[in-house]
Amino acid sequence: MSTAPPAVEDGQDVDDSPVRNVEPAMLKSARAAWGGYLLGLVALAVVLALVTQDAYFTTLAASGLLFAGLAVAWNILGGFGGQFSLGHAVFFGIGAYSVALLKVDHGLPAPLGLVVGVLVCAVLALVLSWPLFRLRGPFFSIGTLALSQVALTLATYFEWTGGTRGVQIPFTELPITEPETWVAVFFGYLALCLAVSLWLIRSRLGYYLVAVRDDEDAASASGANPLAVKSAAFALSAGLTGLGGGLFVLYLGFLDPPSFLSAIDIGAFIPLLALIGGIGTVVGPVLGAFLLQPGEAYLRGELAGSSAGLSQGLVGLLLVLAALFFREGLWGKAQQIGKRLRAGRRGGARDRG
Amino acid sequence: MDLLVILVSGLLVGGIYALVAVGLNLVFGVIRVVNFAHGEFVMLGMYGAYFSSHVWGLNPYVSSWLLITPVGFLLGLLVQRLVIQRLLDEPLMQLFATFGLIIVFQNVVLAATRGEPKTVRTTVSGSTLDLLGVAVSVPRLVVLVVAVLLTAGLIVFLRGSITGTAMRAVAQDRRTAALMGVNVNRIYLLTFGLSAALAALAGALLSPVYTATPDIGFGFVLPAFAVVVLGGLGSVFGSLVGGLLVGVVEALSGYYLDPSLKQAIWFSLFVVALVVRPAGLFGQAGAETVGAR
Repeated sequence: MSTAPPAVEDGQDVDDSPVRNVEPAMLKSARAAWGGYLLGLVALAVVLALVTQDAYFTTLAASGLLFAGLAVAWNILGGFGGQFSLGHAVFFGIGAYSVALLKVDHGLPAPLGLVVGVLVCAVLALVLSWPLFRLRGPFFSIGTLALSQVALTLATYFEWTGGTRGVQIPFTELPITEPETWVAVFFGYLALCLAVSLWLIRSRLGYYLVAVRDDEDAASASGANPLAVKSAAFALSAGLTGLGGGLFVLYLGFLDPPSFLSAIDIGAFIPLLALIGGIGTVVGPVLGAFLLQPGEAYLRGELAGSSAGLSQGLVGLLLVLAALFFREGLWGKAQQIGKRLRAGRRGGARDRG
Repeated sequence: MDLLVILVSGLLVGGIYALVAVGLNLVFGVIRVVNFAHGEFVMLGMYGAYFSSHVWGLNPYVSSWLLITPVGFLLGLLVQRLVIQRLLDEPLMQLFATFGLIIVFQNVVLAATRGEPKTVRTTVSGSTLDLLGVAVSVPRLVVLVVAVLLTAGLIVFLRGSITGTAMRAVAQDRRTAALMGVNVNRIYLLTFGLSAALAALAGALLSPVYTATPDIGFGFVLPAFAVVVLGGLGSVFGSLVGGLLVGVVEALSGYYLDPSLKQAIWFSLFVVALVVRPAGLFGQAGAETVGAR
């Protein structure tokens, strides 16, 4: 475990945030942090340009980028804020419904639908903050999970949401249809999520958020308002998730309620991506998504013929194993190793000197 | 339809919720482990009942006690040893790990059965009993009666036996319990095994009521959490009342509003209960924070 500055020593309250990765960008200069951001995006763009030569990889890249963005968005609340939401499918669904319904029923352009979706998600998150943040730890997760079930029931109940049939956007109405352009759009989405995440963690709000995660009472005593801080993070996280949902429905062309509001395939899968990559870091969730989302899609394709459910079963197993043995995630682990190497080198230099 | 019929059907549904919640209350209420995979033990119990009826011709009401409950106990021991034991101080990781277990169990069963729904037929499957002029389905009545009996038995066990007292002691303060000579790890193991056994038993008894599908467990676990929280964490009697209450609310809202909305209504009730009184109806105020730390 990396040693976070506050609250660890006294040995209490540790379970409020079992993952104590520290985002190094918090301590870097603006130039180093944003320089790293741009460099990473350029490198990613180069890789994408190479990968999208092939149609199959283009599809994988599109969904990988989208889910990377979603995992980064979830991590704003779940990682930096330590609030493990299992109900982000609610916002993913609302974003999708906003775009699809405004387009199909009212003929409004897709970008307007996206904006409306983001605003609805952010406002709903603020409204839900009051009851939900009275719940701590696992109770918050159970509450959000319950909400996502409510959302699914309501979405399939009402006539104006398309009931159980969902919403179909006619192909001719879709603003973008070429897969390569979608890769670019989702790349932009990921870049936006990363920028928000990086800005947040370097801002006063981000510092408060991490302080509240590590010790709510101490942070509150030092002047942070825990509810306000968590609500703001929730709104940002929800808004970005809604944007992802809106883009995804435009990409697919139809909205199937159980899969957009799925507690497992969306609600639990997004946190899993963040967990594998490294909860509480900016880059970690991206790594997790790039590894797992295409990996799962590939396995699903490979194993579909032989035995149904096997690829998903492996995802479940991975979730269990990650929770047991790998809770720092890839990026957290890499940072630990890096730190140990640096410390070793310093130690060596001292010995010689 | 008159109110009596609605109430009776609500109580019968409530019996189902209460039966599933009894086991969850042991792990979540008493030893404070967040086990999302509880519903999967119910699902496995249903399939167990199906296979023992299909292969050996065992009546579910026999196999449930003789075969499925002990197997459920062993499975619980295994899950506790391999997964839960390593995560005792980390409720959020318990949540991830047991959510992972849901996905594993669901998909293993999906792969094994090719997703075909399985129904267990018994001689009492379609039969009804006349109770106060209301026709009551026999398998559902069995579930309700067993739920009440198990609750009573569990209360006696937790209050009266040394092991039960040790379980409550571990829930209150693990360290002190250990100092008083309680083998904490064994209590955890035992409690988890017992909880899984009760879940599997519930599944077997539910097999004549519901058609088994791989994802049915997930449908049980959220109501069970709602019931445990509503009734009061750690209060076994509370979870019986909570279960019956949820069943009645479901029946009433199903009749007066719309059956497809019932879920939304009592989930909202659950969230409201969590917020207004996290200790639940019969739980001690503040009990929700004990042991979760």
